[in-house]
Amino acid sequence: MLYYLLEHLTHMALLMVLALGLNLINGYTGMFSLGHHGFFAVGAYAAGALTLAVTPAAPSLGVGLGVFALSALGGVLAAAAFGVVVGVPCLRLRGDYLAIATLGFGEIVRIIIQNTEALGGARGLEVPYLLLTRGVDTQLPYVALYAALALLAVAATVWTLRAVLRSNHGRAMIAIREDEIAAELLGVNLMKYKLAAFILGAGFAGLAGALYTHFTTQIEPREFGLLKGIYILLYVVLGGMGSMSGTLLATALLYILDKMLLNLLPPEIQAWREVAFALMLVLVMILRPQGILGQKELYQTRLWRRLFKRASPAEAPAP
Amino acid sequence: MTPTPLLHAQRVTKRFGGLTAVADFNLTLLPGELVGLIGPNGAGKTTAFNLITGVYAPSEGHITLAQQPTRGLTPDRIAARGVSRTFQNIRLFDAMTVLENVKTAYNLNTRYTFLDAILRTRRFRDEEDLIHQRALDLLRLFRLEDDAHARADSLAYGEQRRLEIARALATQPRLLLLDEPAAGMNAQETEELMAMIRDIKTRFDLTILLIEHDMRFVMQLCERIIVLEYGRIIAEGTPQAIREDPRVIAAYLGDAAEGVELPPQEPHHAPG
Ligand SMILES: Nc1ncnc2c1ncn2[C@@H]1O[C@H](COP(=O)(O)OP(=O)(O)O)[C@@H](O)[C@H]1O
Ligand SMILES: [Mg+2]
Repeated sequence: MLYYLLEHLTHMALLMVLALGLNLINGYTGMFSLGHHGFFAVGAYAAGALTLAVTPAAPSLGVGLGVFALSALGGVLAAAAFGVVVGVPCLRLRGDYLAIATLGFGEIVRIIIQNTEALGGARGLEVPYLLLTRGVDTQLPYVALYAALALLAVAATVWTLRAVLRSNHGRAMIAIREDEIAAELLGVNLMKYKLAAFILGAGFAGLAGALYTHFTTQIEPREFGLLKGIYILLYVVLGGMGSMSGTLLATALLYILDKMLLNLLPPEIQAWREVAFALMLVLVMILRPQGILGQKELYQTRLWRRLFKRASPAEAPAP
Repeated sequence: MTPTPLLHAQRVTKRFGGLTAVADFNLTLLPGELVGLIGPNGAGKTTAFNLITGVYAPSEGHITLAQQPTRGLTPDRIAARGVSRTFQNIRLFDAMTVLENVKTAYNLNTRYTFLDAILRTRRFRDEEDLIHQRALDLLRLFRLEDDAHARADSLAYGEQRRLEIARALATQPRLLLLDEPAAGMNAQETEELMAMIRDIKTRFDLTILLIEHDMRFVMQLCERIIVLEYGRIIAEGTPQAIREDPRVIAAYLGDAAEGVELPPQEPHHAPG
């Protein structure tokens, strides 16, 4: 039981890293990217290919650790590099056009991988276990290790994005969302900051991809399709564009909902839940475009204050 | 010897399709001048600002800033050369706080890197402290310090106009362009604004070009006034000379004298 929980926690945490990165691009900087799953794929496959290229037969733990770190770094850098490659031409596009271009990017990445024999083609890629082997008796330590690593990745993502957003670089990004023209006239270099948001978001997607590859040890192109992109976007939109705790909350809720439906629904209609999720994205965007939390963080909401804080003097009724 | 002009626009024309918004526009601003740009709605005043700040490239003619041509520069690069502005239709960063609005405009002069911010280095902390202090000083100057942590769009109209000026000053400009800074202000606010503009002009050693419909405001504040009509300069001179110019009276003051208030709304999306 604990084993299953940790397994799901790991997958959920990696989705959180993806969604947080997309929120920087779509929620904080105000662009509309639909290709985040493409960066996830680049990170996963770069880490996988790198691992296969450098791992000797029967690696020791030290070597395994080295390869793991190297491939994770490779995944991050490869995805970030793709952020530049996609960003430079695409970021001149506005609104819908950017969405279409990034959507195209995500599909192209998947199709290229599918047709590249060196990356396993449609069969996918299998990498050796590096840190721990997942045997019958090591199931629990294995998932516990990866759950810890994935949660660490979430923490690192939140920490980094928070630090950036509270600096003048982050303010420039938010200013672009608020009023691109005013921001530029006040000295904000639009291309620099849009690209920075893209690179950062892509880099974290790459990290999630690398961890995903090592955790599952088997990746296939069809896991990195548009559906993944729609799921990630739904987490961001439902949680609130521009709210990190909203993203975390929505990812957790929707992940759990998705897995519950998967278990409850009879197999013949299971696939419909994916349709339902895509539909939910459309509905949220129409009915509550600001998401659950809008641009607020959880601790800034009234409910949170009521639950966890005594009335502060400012909130106490006036005499 | 005459001082070198800060801004020089020579025979600048801007056409939008068949419409000539600004025609053959000449302007020389010397350092320290305070000049008014007036004219009926649609005369091309805001378009002139958009040309100076690089939102549009001139269809003809050229513009130099401190004798450097600005053609080909993006608005943020022109801002980096010391031009800052406010907008006719207020354009604050609504969801940000009053203080953050001002801090954002320090971006040009921010030296610390992303990595400094992530690692919270000494350089980051020192510079952020400095930005914080300076932003608060600016807010104090415009009597907005009590609202520092309120959302920008929660301010009253007149306060929003003052915040736009404070934000524009944070880029540390030499040339400040104010597009109808007193619009929507009551008489007392307008009076205070006049004092503030005089104050910041000396305090920050500014050259100011301002568009305003309030004639009393322009006449009292500006040393020199330029009158635009249908994109062309029809008169230029001291407030006294402008007041008595028959063409100006016909084109513009005549309307105002009869109490005709021209609607401030504009149908396009360019910064106004
Ligand atoms: N981006 C644009 N596209 C088309 N027409 C424009 C644009 N910007 C301004 N105009 C037109 O140019 C003329 C001058 O406008 P503007 O400079 O805003 O006048 P003012 O500020 O003097 O009221 C108007 O007729 C306006 O409709
Ligand atoms: Mg105007």
